[in-house]
Amino acid sequence: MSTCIELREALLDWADGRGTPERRDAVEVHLATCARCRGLAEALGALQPLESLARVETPPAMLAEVHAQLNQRLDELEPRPRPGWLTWLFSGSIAIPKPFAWAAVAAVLLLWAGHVTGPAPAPRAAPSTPVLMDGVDRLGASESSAEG
Amino acid sequence: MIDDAEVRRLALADRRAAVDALYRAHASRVLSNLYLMLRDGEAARDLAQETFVRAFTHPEVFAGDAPLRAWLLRVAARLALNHVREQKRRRAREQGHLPARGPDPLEAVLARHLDAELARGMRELPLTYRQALVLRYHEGLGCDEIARVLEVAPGTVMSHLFRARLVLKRHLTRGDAARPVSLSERRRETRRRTG
Repeated sequence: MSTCIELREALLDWADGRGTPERRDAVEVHLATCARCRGLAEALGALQPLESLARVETPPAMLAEVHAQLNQRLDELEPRPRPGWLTWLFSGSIAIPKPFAWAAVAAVLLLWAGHVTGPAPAPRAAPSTPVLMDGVDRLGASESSAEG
Repeated sequence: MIDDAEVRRLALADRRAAVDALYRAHASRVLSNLYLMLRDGEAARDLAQETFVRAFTHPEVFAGDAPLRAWLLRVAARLALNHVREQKRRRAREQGHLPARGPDPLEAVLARHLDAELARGMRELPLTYRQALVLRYHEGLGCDEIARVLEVAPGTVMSHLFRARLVLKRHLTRGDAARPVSLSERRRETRRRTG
């Protein structure tokens, strides 16, 4: 035999017309022998208006409004990086077929490679005497002429 | 509707996208829950927004395997409780002079779907009773699940539900929206419903 405490939730389900037939039967068997629970069941009664709670729904316009505010707050918390040109090419938001997008990527890479590995600059002719040493030599020459 | 596993996969690559998916899947229920608990559209909107911001700022949510809907409901319920406490403190500070609000668009939704006497009766209930009622009858949760969401013992939930129902029944009977039903009538009604 189930105790009053064990049957508390089943009694609530029974009052709401919920639960499996076995559970409801168990409640009714218990109610037949327990005056206290019978009193509680009478007091609970049926409250059909409670079922109307399940029908309450949020209007879509309100959901969209809160969504926009939420996005604003999340942007403040962590700004989204601006999408680069690759994202723009492949995101599907513009009507560029994939092969053309890949061709564009390949063209950009070729241009970049051409820029990096372009013609090497002509080697500058090395001066016959290093400039610094040249200056030092001249300095030495002027000192020796002053002594003479 | 996107499932939790999918949201968690999404979160590995882009947490913001995961929060967005979470919003699309659960925001409607979170918002209506908050509104039914608080009966204040502005607060419900703010707290719903805050609930999803918490999902973004607490990435560990996506790491576990607990149901995400239950987590959202728990955060929303906790925020609602804090909001009511804060409002009480404010009211005490300002000696009841809180600014009056205009008509709430969510009130129209309630008027369309909810039994008018029930809506009035729910206003009389303490927040904790209202939360238990909303989670059971709006969200369809069992007592154990409600206990986990509200972070109280299952026995407390049961007691809240019983007391809330008794208050509502008194209110509805007074308003003649529901007639008292005898036990034998109740048995017949249950049998009729379940065939």
